[in-house]
Amino acid sequence: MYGWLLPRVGRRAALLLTALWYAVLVALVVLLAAEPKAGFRYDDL
Amino acid sequence: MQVLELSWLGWIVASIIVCWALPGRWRPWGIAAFALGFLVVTDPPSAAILATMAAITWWSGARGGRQRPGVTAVVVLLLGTLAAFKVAMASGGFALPLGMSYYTFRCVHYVLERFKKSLPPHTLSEFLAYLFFLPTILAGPIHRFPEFHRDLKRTRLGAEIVSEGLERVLYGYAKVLVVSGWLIQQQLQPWIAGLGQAHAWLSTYLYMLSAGYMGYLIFAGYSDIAIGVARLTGFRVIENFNNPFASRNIVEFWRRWHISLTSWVRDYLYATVFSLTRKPYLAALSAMLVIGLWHEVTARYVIWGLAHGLAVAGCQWYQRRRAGGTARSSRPRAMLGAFAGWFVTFHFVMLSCVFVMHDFDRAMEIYRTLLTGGP
Repeated sequence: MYGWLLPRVGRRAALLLTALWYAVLVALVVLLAAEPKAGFRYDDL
Repeated sequence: MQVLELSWLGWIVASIIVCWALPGRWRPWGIAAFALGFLVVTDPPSAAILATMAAITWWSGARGGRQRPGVTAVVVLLLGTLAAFKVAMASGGFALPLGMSYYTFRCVHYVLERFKKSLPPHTLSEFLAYLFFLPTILAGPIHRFPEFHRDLKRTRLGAEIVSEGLERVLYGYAKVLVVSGWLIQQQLQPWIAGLGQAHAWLSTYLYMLSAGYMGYLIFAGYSDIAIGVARLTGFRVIENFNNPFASRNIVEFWRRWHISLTSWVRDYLYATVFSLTRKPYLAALSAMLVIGLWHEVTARYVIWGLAHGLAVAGCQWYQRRRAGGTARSSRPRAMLGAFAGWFVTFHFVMLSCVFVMHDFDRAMEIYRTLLTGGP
């Protein structure tokens, strides 16, 4: 995302937007995490 | 699930830091030592078995790998060991060593490419770093040696690498833990179950789709985590998925699903069978059967592999037949054909997933409900 944003919005805005997007993802993962149980075999997981 | 445990994350973070901190010539040793250390601490028998396989692979490349019988013997030994563990696992006797299915295919790739003299000059430490690469050791992708060796030589740490890697890791965890675990399993599936007997067909159909998507999202998420962590370590490994459920036929689906496995099977099995027999349908059938057995040595995966093999062979036959024709379709007709192709492929994949994701009785119950509309 940072690489895509850099030429479009400049370094500072790219850093800010990327950090915000990561914060949203981290918050979602931390708040909603639930380990799924799927029957398909992926072998060693 | 190892990849979701904090201990694995700790090993990963430590390995990334050490990898970048070490001087270039010590980097391969550092990479290999971390993965081997992880295996020794987590599952010592796995570490011993994989280290033995690595020794055989390296020895075969250095000594026996110059002659065809020696290479054949080593490939049979490696694949035979994997098959023996899979059979033992299916009969409940053994647990498969960690990462063995992916690891074995990497060893076979190395042995065959070294025999063909297509590998770049490299050292023992670089070979060990390739096989014992922590990000991909548990759940793939089955990356290739030349690309790994190239990145080992030329990668420099930068903001783009950190951003790219971190983003893929976060997408991976979001796919596994949020979309698959929370959204589908905890929110959507109870709602689907709540539709009850009055809407048995709809409930079963939606359940089939949700379970299929979960299967995809979990594996795609693990691949994202592995690819992202590899990127953070400075390596670009092969992509494993490319929006497979958008495929318009089954051949295209297998080009987009578990790409590192299917490209391995295409290069080393499909191409071999085809060059020996000149029969593309037989090559497709044997390739899909092996993909089925790679997942699990059981009757249900044999049937699953054969079903996909027949579908791929049928699709190849149809495409050849169409390519021979001269008639051109109108635009609406072409669009309708594309939609029909997607519809049939999507439902074939979902229906085949039911067979391997449930025990036989439950799978038959789902098929019966979908066919008759009743419980």
